[in-house]
Amino acid sequence: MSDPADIQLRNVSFAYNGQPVLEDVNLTIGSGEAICIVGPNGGGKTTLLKLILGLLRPDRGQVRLFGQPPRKTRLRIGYMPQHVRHDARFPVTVNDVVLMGRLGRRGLAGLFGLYSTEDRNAARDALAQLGMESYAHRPFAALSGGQRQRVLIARALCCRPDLLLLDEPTANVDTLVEARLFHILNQLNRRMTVVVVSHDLGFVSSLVGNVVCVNRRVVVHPTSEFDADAVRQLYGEEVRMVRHADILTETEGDA
Amino acid sequence: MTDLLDALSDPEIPFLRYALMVGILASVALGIVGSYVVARRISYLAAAISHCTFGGIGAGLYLQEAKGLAWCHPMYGAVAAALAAALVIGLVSLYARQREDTVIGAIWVVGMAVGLLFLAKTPTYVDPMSYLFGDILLISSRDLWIVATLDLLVVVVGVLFYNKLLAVCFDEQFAELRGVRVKLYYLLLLCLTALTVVLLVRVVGIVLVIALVTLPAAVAGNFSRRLWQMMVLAVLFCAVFVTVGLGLSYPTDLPAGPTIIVLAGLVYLAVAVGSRLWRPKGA
Repeated sequence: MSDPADIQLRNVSFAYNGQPVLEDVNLTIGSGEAICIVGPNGGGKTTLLKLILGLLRPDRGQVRLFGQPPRKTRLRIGYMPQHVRHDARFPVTVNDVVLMGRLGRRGLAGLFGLYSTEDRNAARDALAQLGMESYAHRPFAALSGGQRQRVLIARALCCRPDLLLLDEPTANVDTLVEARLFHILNQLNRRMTVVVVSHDLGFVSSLVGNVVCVNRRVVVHPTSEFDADAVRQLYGEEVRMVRHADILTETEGDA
Repeated sequence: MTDLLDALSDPEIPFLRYALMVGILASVALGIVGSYVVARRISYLAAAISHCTFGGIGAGLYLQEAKGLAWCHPMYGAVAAALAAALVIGLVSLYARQREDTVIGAIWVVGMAVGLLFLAKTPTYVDPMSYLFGDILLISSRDLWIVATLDLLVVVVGVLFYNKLLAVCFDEQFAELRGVRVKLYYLLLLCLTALTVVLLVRVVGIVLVIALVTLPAAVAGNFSRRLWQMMVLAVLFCAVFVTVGLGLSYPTDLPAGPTIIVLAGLVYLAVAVGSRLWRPKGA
């Protein structure tokens, strides 16, 4: 296809207060791919994400999202943040949260952020896809960590995105929910590009085609080649990996 | 209570009627804006804005008395100062590389100090207490009109942009990614807060008004699962606090502002303690 890649970074560098976080990053993610971004804490995963989303501008190099600057095209992304920062008692229901995925339309309804019947249907569909429809009228604050994560994924889906970008979707969930999440993401990947940020190396093997390793520099490995050597390179130390059936868990060596 | 009803209908003492009308009108704005402020956790910024208002009141009085600008009502000064403070404080909290709380604390006290300097240079003596803590004797029918106009403005804007303000308060970053101009809406929210604190300058004063921004919303928060429910309840609580507070203060000859605030504080405390004791059974 002649369509531009979903995400393209060319020679991108970024520094916080003179501290280089990312250097000379080249990365292309094509339409329909499933990608996992891995790397140690502080290695630049979040910065890479913010560059892709247009929340940060690169010091050098160029970021393109669907062939254009991210700010112009980021409405096509469904983004799930790692967590929502604010008040744990914030008075919103699950449905209120998911509907936020419908903001950002043009015209008078867009200006006032009014929701149409279609928007409400989209929210219901998104919740149903994650098996959360019966929670629609529950307070968001009353959910467990894993349930909240699913609601935030539903909100991302409610954007009807071409690209789903999930930041640490397995951070607060147990193995069972995690397995279910893989299944859902696999299905979604048939319709859209899926990019997942994870420190959970087990995620890598079970879902995605390519692994993007981020530790100041960015290296892309096909999953089949993402082995102990690649992990050692990435983390700069021995990482013991234990294989349980098809789920990998990692225990880091003493730093 | 019949005393109060008699007093309210007595044409000789219009200020009590005005105070009640101002209080109930202001409750609508206070409940709506207060819910945003409490949910977004910016009561500290609201307090800073409200104190800065004193600078504008001082300037208004000075221009009126010393410079003979009769039209320059201190309430106009209060509105201008509150909006200016909201913008400065908002920009500081958005962009400051300094320690945000330090800068905002500084703006807070400088605003008040400027007000005192203006009052010192105003030829006729003005008791700053009446503006700091409210004095219902000073309420005029003109105040009533100013309050009604500002109230309408705040309520219309606060309700029209409900979904967007909700999204900005809940998750700024996501809202930005959905094309919402979050910085603009954040400043809008602070400006609404600024106009709201001005509403009750006459009744409870700029120091005590913060309690009526936060307490009714905080009480309402215990009974609401959605932001708009919190707003509706906060409006009701606020109107009840003002009405009952005025009702208690008149026959006992207590100052109205502090009576209202102590009442609101006691109810807040009772609800906070009550919901603690209640919850383990319900959960």
